[in-house]
Amino acid sequence: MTSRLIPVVHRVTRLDLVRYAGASGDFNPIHFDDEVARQFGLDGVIAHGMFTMGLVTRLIEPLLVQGYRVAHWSNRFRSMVAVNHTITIDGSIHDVDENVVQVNIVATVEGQTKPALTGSVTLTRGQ
Amino acid sequence: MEIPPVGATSSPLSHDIEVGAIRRFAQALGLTYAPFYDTVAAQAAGYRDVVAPPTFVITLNGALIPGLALPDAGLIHGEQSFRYGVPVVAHDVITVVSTLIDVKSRGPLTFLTVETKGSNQHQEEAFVSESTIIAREEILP
Repeated sequence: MTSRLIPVVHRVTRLDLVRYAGASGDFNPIHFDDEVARQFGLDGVIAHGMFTMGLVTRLIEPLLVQGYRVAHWSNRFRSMVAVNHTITIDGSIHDVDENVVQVNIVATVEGQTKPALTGSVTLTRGQ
Repeated sequence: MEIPPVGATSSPLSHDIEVGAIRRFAQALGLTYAPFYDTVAAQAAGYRDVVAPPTFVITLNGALIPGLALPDAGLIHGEQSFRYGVPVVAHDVITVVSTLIDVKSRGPLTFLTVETKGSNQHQEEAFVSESTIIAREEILP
């Protein structure tokens, strides 16, 4: 059986990236300093890949509430997420068996055809 | 850039898991699952204490891998996977070891895969992370 999770829609702000830098300890300046980002050929600051991946946690929180725990999570970072852009994270659930689900995830950014992130999360419960 | 042979491994590094660090991480991602914040909610959900969000373990860096020197800039995080064992909770002490497990070159790009294994104070495996980093510089001969 396949069903969809409620998508996560989030506009990535500079405050998000500063807060994530502090919380994660990843202070690479391309995530908060436009001048440095431009030196690397970017138009401005971009989100940490791990910030985008972390946002996927919001998508699967309803499964955590149902008693599932993440057993395995794998994803590729396929394009950059620029600040002040809206990211949409979609997930489709595939029941592997009664206590195992696999969620296929795709994160897209407004105005970009190539996804920012694709992957899958396997969750289990009662084990 | 300097790259040691595959199999090069860091010394172990231990991290004290602080409840405030878990909460700040969950807040930074806008998470709302109560066991990420609250001990009572965490215990009701079967965790020993406030539980770390799944991607929190990326903050538990390994020590430097001997012989591995990457450029400061131009690194891209290409892929990330986590396999989870016993949940990481507040007041755990997680010891991590990082190993270079794969190196590939394609044109000017070098793909390095680093595995980081974390175990808790009871020697139970907490997670295995695999990070693939893409560097835009050729390996020196």
